[in-house]
Amino acid sequence: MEKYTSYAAYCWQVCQAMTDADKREKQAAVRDLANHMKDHAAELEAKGYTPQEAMERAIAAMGDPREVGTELNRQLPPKKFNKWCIIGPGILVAVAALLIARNACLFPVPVSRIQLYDIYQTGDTVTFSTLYNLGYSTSISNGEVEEDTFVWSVRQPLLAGPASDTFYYETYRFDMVYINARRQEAGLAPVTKVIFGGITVWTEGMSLPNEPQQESPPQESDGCTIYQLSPESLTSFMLPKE
Amino acid sequence: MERRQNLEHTSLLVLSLLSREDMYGYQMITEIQKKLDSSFTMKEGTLYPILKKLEASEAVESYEQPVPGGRIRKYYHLTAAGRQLLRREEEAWHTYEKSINQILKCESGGILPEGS
Repeated sequence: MEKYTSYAAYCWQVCQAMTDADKREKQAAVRDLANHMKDHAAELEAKGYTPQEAMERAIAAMGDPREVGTELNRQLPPKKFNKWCIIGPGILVAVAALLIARNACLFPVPVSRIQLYDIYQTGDTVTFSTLYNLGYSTSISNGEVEEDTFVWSVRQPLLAGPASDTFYYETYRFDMVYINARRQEAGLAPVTKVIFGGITVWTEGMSLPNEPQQESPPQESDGCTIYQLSPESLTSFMLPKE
Repeated sequence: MERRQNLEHTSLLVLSLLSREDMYGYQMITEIQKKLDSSFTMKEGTLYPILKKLEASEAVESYEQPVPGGRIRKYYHLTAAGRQLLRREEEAWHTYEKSINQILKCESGGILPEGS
């Protein structure tokens, strides 16, 4: 066995073998071993050994520090799972998810059949949860939808960049016409907030860059309320402006 | 295997010593060496993993007391669970010893004295 000339050198070697121990566990082991060696050395000194001899003999009597360290390491209690390692980040994720969900309405309260097409309403808030644009023609009779035709196209503004911002506003304005008409049928107040992709893009009081063109007022026909949009209007809604 | 046996036997010795009084580490070593002849040598450092194991199994518990010179000495105390463990270990040891003796007696053609 290697010769150790100080308690610290011996204990350091023990600690090296305690690979799974934390600082507190190593400190406790060092305290126990050092006290033991000091007790032994004190007894040897009382028998007439010099302090240096007594220390060296006391250290040698301990045995191989690697073996002692390895055995101590084996007896360490299994590391307790630090719950805050999971709970902490978990809380952050949950809060982030709630904030996103609140804005993006990931758990919306859908109104009417619009829910089938990824447009959600929560209270007075409308959320477009897809990158698709909705075109429509519909007729409502006695509160029941008789005919719904939806035309979907990619919401180009988000893909094409700032040049298409105007189009972007028009598309949701377009959708809002439809949604508000439905809400009116259901006796609900008009939409007051529009969220797209988690971002609030319109709230009540904000002006829209371009009013939709030639939007025909709802017409009563044979007991049906018909919402119509002219081809020009539809074109202007669906295509980016130059 | 040999080392594990030694650890288990030392564990029994430690439990036995603590059944009479609370002791600190070096005191246990000196007591063991006093009671056994020089054929039994024990590396003193191996005592501490045993004490850790017994503490973890709640067979012993430790407390600290200051000693002259300003140091703190850790004493070990045998718990009720430790006393039960000691009884079981003693029984196991006697059974083991008896079995070994019986085999040795048969193999050595009765060289061992009766009753050993």
